[in-house]
Amino acid sequence: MKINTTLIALVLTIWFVLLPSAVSAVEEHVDPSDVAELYSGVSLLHYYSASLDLVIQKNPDATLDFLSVMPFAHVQPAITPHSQEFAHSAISIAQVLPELDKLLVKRDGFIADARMTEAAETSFQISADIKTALEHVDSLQAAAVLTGNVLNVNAAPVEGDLVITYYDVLRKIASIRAMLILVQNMVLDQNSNIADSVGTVTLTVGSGIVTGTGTMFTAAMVGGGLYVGSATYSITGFTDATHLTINPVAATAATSSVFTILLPTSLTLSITPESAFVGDTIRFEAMLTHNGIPLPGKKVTLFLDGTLFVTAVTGADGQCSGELTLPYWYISQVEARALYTPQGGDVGVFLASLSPATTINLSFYNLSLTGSAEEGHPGLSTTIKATLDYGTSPPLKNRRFSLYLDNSLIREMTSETDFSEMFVIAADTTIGPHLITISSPSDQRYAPAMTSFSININKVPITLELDKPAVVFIPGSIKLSGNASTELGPLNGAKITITSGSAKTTVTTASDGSFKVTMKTTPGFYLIASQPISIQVTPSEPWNAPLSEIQNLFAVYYLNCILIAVTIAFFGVYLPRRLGARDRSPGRTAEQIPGDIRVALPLTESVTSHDEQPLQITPRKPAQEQILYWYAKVLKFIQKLAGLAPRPEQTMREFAEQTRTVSLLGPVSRYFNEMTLLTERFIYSPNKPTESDVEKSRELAQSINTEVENETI
Amino acid sequence: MKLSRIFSIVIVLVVVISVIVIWFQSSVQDFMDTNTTWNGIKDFMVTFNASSMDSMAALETVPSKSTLIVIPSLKFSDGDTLRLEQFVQGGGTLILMDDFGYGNAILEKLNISARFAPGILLDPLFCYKNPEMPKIVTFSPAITAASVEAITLNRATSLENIGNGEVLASSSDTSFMDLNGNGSPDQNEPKGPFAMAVKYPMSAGIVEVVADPSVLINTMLPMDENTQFMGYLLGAGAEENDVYIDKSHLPSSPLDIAKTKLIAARRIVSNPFALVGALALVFIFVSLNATGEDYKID
Repeated sequence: MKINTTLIALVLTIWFVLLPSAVSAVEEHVDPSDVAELYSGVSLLHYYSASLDLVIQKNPDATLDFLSVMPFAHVQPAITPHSQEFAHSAISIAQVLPELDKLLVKRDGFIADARMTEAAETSFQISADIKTALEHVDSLQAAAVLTGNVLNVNAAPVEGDLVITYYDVLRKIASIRAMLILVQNMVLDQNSNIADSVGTVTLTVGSGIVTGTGTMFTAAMVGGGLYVGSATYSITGFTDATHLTINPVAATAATSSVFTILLPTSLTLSITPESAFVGDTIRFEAMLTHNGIPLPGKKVTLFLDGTLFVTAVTGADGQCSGELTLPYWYISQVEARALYTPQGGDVGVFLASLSPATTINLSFYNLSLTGSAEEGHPGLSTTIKATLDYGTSPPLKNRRFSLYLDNSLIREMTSETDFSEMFVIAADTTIGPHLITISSPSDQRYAPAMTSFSININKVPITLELDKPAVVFIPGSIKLSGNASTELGPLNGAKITITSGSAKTTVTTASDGSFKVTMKTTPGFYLIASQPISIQVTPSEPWNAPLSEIQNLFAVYYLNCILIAVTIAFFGVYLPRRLGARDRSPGRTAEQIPGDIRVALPLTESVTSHDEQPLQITPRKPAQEQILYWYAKVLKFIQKLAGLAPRPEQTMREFAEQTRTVSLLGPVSRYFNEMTLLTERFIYSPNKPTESDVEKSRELAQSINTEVENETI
Repeated sequence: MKLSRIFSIVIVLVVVISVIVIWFQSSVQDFMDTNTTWNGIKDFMVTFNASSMDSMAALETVPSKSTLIVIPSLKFSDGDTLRLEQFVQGGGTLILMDDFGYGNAILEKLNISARFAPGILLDPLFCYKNPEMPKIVTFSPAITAASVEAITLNRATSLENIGNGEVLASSSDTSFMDLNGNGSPDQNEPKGPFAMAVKYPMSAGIVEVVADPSVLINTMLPMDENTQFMGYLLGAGAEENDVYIDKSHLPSSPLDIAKTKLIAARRIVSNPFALVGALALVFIFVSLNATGEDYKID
């Protein structure tokens, strides 16, 4: 009971000491599972407001970055769809606004060039974009209002941050809406600005007839354009001075004094010849007319694939011509167009016109270039091979070629035919795949040529042959020898570092790659073990790869083995014998018999020290138990003395008989036999022992002890 | 039975039970590698095959291209800081993760301009449940390319005076530094965004500074892309991806100290000579008990 109490107390103490550390973690972090949900409507509205600032600043990229993270915002579930819609709408508006600016600039350019059709198309696109943007503004406003409803803004204090921020968001949305409407009005105003009208024109809904008042329509206007407000119509027919036919029919009724009628022009272009080599000169002719009437003195510009090339002025017949040197563009076809844009006094009178495209077929000499390279090694040379195929074209003499390794020029050369070129790879080139590029610049009719291919740059692996002893005895030395080589030959002057435990030695290979080394071993705490040795080979050449490997030696730590054998022998054999001998020596005293049988006389072999002391027994225990106690003691004593042990099948009596055969025991065996009979009687019969029996058993034990002390045996 | 024998049995039992309890009881201390509860880093150690380092002296034996994570909850000695500096200069990657510890002293010694800001970073909008657990959603292109869209921190601070460092992660515009602990953004309190993770090249190595070590703990590592984020930091400069975490500057509970000692004791006992010594003691004990009773009846 006492043990249990002590144990529990000690274990609880240990737990008490160990557990308090569990509550010391509150400063650094909190347990996510214990964290309370907190929402901040004000923060969300602030974020809305800040995002609208970016929209107003027409910064679509920043708006996208700002609002694309909205899914990570911690908002009430009821707000989530509204916040997503807000982000989507704001991002859309932010992308439209800069596009509108670009379209407005483009439209101004068309108007300046009197390219009214394109200007009208751009105006239409601007109007469509504004309409889409306004729809997004509606969604934006709805999302903001619905967010405000969930946040219960109406019930919040008027002077509170929530209400102030909410109305700030609505104000900014209103600003965006106003900005879009302003752009829309500006487009309409700019349409008015291009008008150059006299009198008024009247349009009827669904009608293709335009009625003029105070103006003078002419047949020359047919093919031209009529611009009223933001609408554009083509003039398809002339009825009389006050009536024109337009297409399409008017969508809305209007009577306006702000309108423009521009006269149509037509431009044709012819090229001779239509097929030529690059660099050749070709001839072009263009003719500008208005309703078949030549327009003289007008500037016509010739474009090749959209690039301005030459300008000519029409003559009295409306024609212009000239020569053009074809550029060294090594493409099969280019597209030629002529463009007339009204300038000076023609602005507001004529429409611009663009000729149909004329295709010019270009010819040039092509070179098919292919290349290959062998595997390279840093510091060694390698060969690049190039194959040139001109097809049916004549080869170019002294054609220039440039060779690049990655982006570095490694060689410049000329060649007319296939070639091989050797170059040394820099020693510090990193191993792995690299890119070889062979390029040849264009040369008049010869198009440029280029090819790229991969070259693998590797270091040559080292092969190490190591002669090592089968067994290493530690402490001692290890003799190692071997040979290092690569596929290119023996490794000369390579540094070989061998490490075994804390021992380290370095040797340099001979010209044939051989080496020999003797190194000391490092003592360890093992008996027999696998001793790893680390071998590092550092070649002197940059093209050879360093080698590092670990090999194992079978090591016998013989000193340790001896030490342990001695220890075991000492503690297992010598020490027990030595201690046993000491115990048998005179002067040793016996312990008191445990329990309540107090024997004052220690039953030892020392006579002189104990024979005067009386035997004192206090028989508080049952007599049978005391007799058995004395028998057990005597039995143990006899076993040690005679070197006998009862066999499992032996009875007590048989064992006692056996002790008689041991002459060493002498009279002791008789006492033991008597004691055995006494003990048997109480074990195997219902007889109860008496105090005299107990006394007898003690006396027998005492007699045995006395015999031993008197050294009669 | 004698009292001395009872006492001996109790002592033996207590020692045995204590050893068993210490060996199998999980640590509950912050950032302990053996702690499997919410605030330990056992999962991190397993995920990244990391090893713990009981002493900064061991830094001299790790491969030069290794990555070392330091959480300086305890003060660094000059010697330990010098070892850190030498480790980085030798090509190692140091990830210094701190919020309210001794990180600034290390940064100063390493001559890095950045400092861990005072106060706690709160973000009322971009957070997990609560402003104390801010979500970071702005990253450098390299981290975004590593499929990191958001990470969640836990009672973090922020970094200031970044200098020429490469900002790897920033808090949102709605974040602020709560200096007075009232949980609200006051007029004099700095407003976000703040740098949360910064990278500095230093000689042959790299120093990455992160304003919250809690991202490592078992409950935080799986949140959002915290694991990928740590994966990026760990792979920033290491060719050999050996990852170590310094335990010597973390506060240890008696259990942790006992565990460390126990592991050290096991290491010593596994030595053959220690075994021989123990064997010798057993022989002596047995011999003394076996020989004292010879040739007498007692």
